[in-house]
Amino acid sequence: MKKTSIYFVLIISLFLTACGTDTTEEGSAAASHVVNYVAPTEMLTLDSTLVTDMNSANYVSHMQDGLYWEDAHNNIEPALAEDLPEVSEDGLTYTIQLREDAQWSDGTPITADDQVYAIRRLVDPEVAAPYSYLAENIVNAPEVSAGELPLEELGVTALDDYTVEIQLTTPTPYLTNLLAFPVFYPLNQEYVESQGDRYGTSSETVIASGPYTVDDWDTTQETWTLNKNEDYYYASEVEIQTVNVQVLKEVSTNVNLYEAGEVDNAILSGELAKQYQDHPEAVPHEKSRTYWLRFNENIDVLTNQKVREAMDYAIDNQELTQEVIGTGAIPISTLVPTNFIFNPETEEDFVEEVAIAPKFDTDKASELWEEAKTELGVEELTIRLVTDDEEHIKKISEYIQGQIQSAMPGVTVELQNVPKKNRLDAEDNRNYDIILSSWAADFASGVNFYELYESDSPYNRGDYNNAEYDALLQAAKGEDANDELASWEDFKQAQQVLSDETALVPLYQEVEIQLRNPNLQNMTLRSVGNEFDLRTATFSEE
Amino acid sequence: MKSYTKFILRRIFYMILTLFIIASITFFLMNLLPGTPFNAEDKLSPEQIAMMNERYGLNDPIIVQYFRYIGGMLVGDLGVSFQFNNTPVVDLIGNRIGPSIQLGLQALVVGTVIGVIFGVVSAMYRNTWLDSSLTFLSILGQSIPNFVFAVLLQLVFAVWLNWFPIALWSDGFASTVLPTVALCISPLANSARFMRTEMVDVLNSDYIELARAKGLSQMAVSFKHGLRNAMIPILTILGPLAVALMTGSMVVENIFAIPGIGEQFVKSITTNDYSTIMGVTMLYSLGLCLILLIVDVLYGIVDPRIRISSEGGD
Repeated sequence: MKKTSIYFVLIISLFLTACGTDTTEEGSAAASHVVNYVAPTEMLTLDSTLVTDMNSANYVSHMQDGLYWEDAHNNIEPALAEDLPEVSEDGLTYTIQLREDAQWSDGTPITADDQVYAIRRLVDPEVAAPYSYLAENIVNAPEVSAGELPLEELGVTALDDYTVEIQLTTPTPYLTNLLAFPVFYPLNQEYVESQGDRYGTSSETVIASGPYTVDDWDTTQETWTLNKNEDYYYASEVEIQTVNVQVLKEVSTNVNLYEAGEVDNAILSGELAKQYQDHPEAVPHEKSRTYWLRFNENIDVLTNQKVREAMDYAIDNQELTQEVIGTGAIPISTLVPTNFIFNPETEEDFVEEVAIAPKFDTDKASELWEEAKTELGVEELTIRLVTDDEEHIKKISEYIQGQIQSAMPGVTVELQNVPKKNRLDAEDNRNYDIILSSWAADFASGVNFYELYESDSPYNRGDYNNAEYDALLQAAKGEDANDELASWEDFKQAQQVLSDETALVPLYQEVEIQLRNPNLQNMTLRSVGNEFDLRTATFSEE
Repeated sequence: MKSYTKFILRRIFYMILTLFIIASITFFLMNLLPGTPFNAEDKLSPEQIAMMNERYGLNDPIIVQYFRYIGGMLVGDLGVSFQFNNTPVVDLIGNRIGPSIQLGLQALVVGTVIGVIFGVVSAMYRNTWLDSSLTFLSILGQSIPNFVFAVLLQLVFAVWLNWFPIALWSDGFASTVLPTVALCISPLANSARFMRTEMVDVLNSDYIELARAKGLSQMAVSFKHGLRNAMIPILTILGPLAVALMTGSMVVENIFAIPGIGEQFVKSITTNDYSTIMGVTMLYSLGLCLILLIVDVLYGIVDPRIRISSEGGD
């Protein structure tokens, strides 16, 4: 009767309200030099001091400039700086001249004070920036960070409007690399403070000093736009006018949109990466992230070198990268990745120069295990391997389990595939026997990786302790720091110590495969720091 | 009618109580999660983490944090997200809830309406080829996960046939069609199967026989007399179906690149983004409570007996 129709009217009106909501029109102004670029996740912040994730860092570095800029091989070029720094004899004082023609997008000039403010903000305990430790070599930084000294005591000063002086407690030859990293980029104090807590949470609460402005963005958006900053001092060299960024989390959708010509790149992973790696438009991008097995040195059996060595010999990195991972990952035998640091004289890749032979020989593994059994007086062994629970990592852990169990009869590898934060928790609390660990470099220096195994480092999460190794690292960071060749030798020896002792089992280096529109050329791709740069890119219309 | 208002008021009171209990349980459970809410956790030293905990008030005793949170919630302050630096959780949810609600409602309405029609038709022509094929379709719809379906829809109707956009939330209604279809499959299949069973029962009952004996047409019997009585159980499953839509939209939203809230539900937990976990949990709980309330009200409309009995007889 009538009540029935009320019910249907209700449902239909619900439907109509649902359908009647917004439509946002597509800006179809197809001007030339528009790039439709895909980002893998949302941008979490545009606050350069607080940035920690790679995706945000990539866009901060399009919006803001540092004193220096890194090319595709991690070579330093001046950006907001006039030239390379003047370094004192002892390597502890850097004097940097800024260019005088650079300005913020609101018209104020970029001065030495902006650099001083940015570094003070980085170590300010009130701000609690995650990356504040990158400034630890600057005079008084640890004390300021701990709230024991005022910000003004930090060893960074503006000598005049366009001259910055940075004082260090220990020689830091990679300081210019650090200055090219977003957390060190100059900031306009007056502007940042005027925005308070909202600074960097939307395109309305930032100003640009770099080649692009970021528009139409707040943290909740899945799209944003880069527009060329016409006030940029180097604007004449920037060719791409507009970049429309779209977040796409589903690889298959990304590929479909790429094939339909709606976006200019597709970030591949998993099965699709395997499938498309030989595609003519596939571009590999080597990352500075390496994966390795870390031993918990508090576990008695794992302090036996033969046990560790047998495991190293049991795993075939070649097979692991080609058959199990299959997306162009590079098998490695060192802690550091390839294409990361280069001999200061010969420019040879560190990895090639140390030339650690890959260890794989199942017979040798069995032999070593037999010897270890007598040394330890055991017949069987149960080892707990903790790893992340992502699909490809699970496969890797199963491969490792299989290899070890077949080459070392009597060993049972128990797998624990847990979410990343549980893995980190296990690592911090030493609640594992072996763990699949990884590290991505923050700056291009051997220190960034080899520090991980220094006995007193907070990142030494397996309690590795070797006096010889510690001495080498001390030398590299101390008396040899000003002598590039000497510290280079220290790192080589440090790697040799790790390899001789089988302190870890290096596995592979990460490589990302992207499909990229062949018309989009000359992008700067880096393995460390900001991953890509569109300021150098060109777009050829055919 | 007065006692009916009282009934609803009492339901609203219980709803608020339920929400408060959910908030409390979630808050304490959440603090048992391992790890920190900070990004790039593997790069942080213990001292650094201690310093950041201090800055964000996470060093205070849990009970202090709890009262601070509940106090904030009462005045509409859900805190700021850790993951999305300093973004108020209210903004985070507010800016993303629109597409999710729109898709959820469309899917729920389309799914149940079609499902009910399928169910009635199946029951009317039970044990014929029509019934068997509709049942087969329902079982298929229920067993294929919606993301598989979403990928298929995208491939066929967007990539091959070019009828709809492949993805993105930029073409108005056209952008919502494929995700709605993908999402409505599960409510459709569920309500169709449910409806068929109920309808078969009702159609066998005495009063339907009477209606037939009076010479009413098959259509009138089924839709006027049968449907209304078979409708009540469908209302009961609306609540769970809506919840399944809310929590199940994440993958479909990712596939069609829809800026919705679905992913936050999962991601806030995996990143320990405490204030977002709370915000999204409360939002979903509120949604479920509201749906249950609406369902109760609808009961009274569809079946006056329920309303009468809640009024204590007449």
